[in-house]
Amino acid sequence: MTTQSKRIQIICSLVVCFFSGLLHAKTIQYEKISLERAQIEIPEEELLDIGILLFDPNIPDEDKELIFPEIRKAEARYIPYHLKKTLQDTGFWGGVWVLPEKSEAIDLIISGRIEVSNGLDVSIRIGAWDITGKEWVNKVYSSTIAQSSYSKRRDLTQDPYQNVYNKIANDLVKIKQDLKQQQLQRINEIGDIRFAAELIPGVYKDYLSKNKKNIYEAQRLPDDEDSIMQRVYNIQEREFLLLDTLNEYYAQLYENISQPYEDWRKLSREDMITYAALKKSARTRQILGAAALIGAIVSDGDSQASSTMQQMAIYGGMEAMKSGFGKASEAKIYKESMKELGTAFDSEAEPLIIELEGQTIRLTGSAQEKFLEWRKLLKQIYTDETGFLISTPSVQ
Amino acid sequence: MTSDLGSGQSASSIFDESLGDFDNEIAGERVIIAAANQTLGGMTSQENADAAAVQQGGLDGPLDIESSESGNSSTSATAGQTQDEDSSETELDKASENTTDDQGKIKERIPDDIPMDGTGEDVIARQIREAAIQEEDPMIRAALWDEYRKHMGIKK
Repeated sequence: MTTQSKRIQIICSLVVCFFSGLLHAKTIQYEKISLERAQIEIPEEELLDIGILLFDPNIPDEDKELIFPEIRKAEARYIPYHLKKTLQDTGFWGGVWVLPEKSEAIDLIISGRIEVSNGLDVSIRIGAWDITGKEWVNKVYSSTIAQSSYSKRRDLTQDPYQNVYNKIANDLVKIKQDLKQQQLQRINEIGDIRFAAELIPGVYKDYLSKNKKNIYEAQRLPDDEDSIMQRVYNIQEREFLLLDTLNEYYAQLYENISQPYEDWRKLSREDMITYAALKKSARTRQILGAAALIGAIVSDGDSQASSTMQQMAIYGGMEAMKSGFGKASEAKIYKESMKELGTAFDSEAEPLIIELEGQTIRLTGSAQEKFLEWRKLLKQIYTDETGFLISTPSVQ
Repeated sequence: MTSDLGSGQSASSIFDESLGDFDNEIAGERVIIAAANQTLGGMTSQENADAAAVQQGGLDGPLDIESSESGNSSTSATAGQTQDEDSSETELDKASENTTDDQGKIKERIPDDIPMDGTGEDVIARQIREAAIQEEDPMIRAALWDEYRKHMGIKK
């Protein structure tokens, strides 16, 4: 057999191997992360309050295929709310709220950015900082979602993305458990002073300092009899009351979009798998088909056998390319189906989000006016009770 | 040294009052949320009632057929049918009377300053209106209408 014939034979084998390789499906290993729950009641002084900021929906400036702005906006509210439910479920924490904006009244703040969410794959960047400024977590949590996660027979309190929520919750608990009771108490105390300093900086700013790592440290603590501090606690209670109320609205949105969002994720997952397989298959077939064709054309064997093999390689290459183009057009159809699916849920979510935004703005706007009023009154009360006038620098 | 802030009241008492006002506002907001949830719950109850009625209709049907089949003559079957028609008419009359009664009840429960047709209402206002109309307790109903007025910017 000549070198030329060998080359054609190798190309033919490649094409055959390729087609047989296509038959073997890729196996995905799905993980199962259990949620760690408190086995005993946690003492109150060890409980930290958590605030989860609405997530960054991470919508690209330019239109990007298969990222639907309204779905992302809905997810940016849905995911923090389910994370709140998961964290509450652990029993390790005090109050857990979803926050429209940062609050100085909360011990631990969580922020998040949705990197990927298509029903099959989910990736979320999570950051967590306590009120002293110390970073707890700053990493991306990812998971590939199994079909069984969408089963109607599963425990319906568990979201299809539950693995990600459990991973976040378990990481936070691990960090909390590494802290001594004294450290947890200190976070609580610094939180109270920061809230007080936010309201009436002229009085409480000096109670805190920042170390070299930019972490807040308490220089002294307010006296138990500090009447201004008692009023600060009263305001803090109102902040929590406001957050409770806002969270009722978030709960309504969560309930309203829960089913359509799950339906979208389930169908999107199926389409994603088919689309990815078709796209990969189309690309590989086109590349190998072209390679076979080129290989056959450049070969110039003169024997009858090599000529037959050359023709076979040309035929095989053309068939591979043709089938590749067929797969590409099938993939395009799936892509369109995914777009339609996304657009349908997009338009369902949009009015609900607009309504929620309206309610949030109305409620927080009215509360902000009250907080401004209380700031002024606290200053006046301080002057009335101590005889000292307060200058008003910023706490930061 | 106590300032009266020009209103004859000390800053401390204004502060306490202001906290109270805030608590009332939040309580009002909670009423709106509860009303919205109640309306949603009401819809579910209505759906359940409809489903039960459909199910009941399905059960009544075969029983009627059986009773007419068990009759000895076609006359008795026809008589039974006529009787059924009569009773249906009576039920229809009762239903229309009930509807008129319901409408009268609804009108009674809507204060004079609230538009009957719900002109300019948004989703929240509609939910508050429905909750107020359904509310049996006059005190809570009045509080809901107050919330409605506040939400719609209607001065009492």
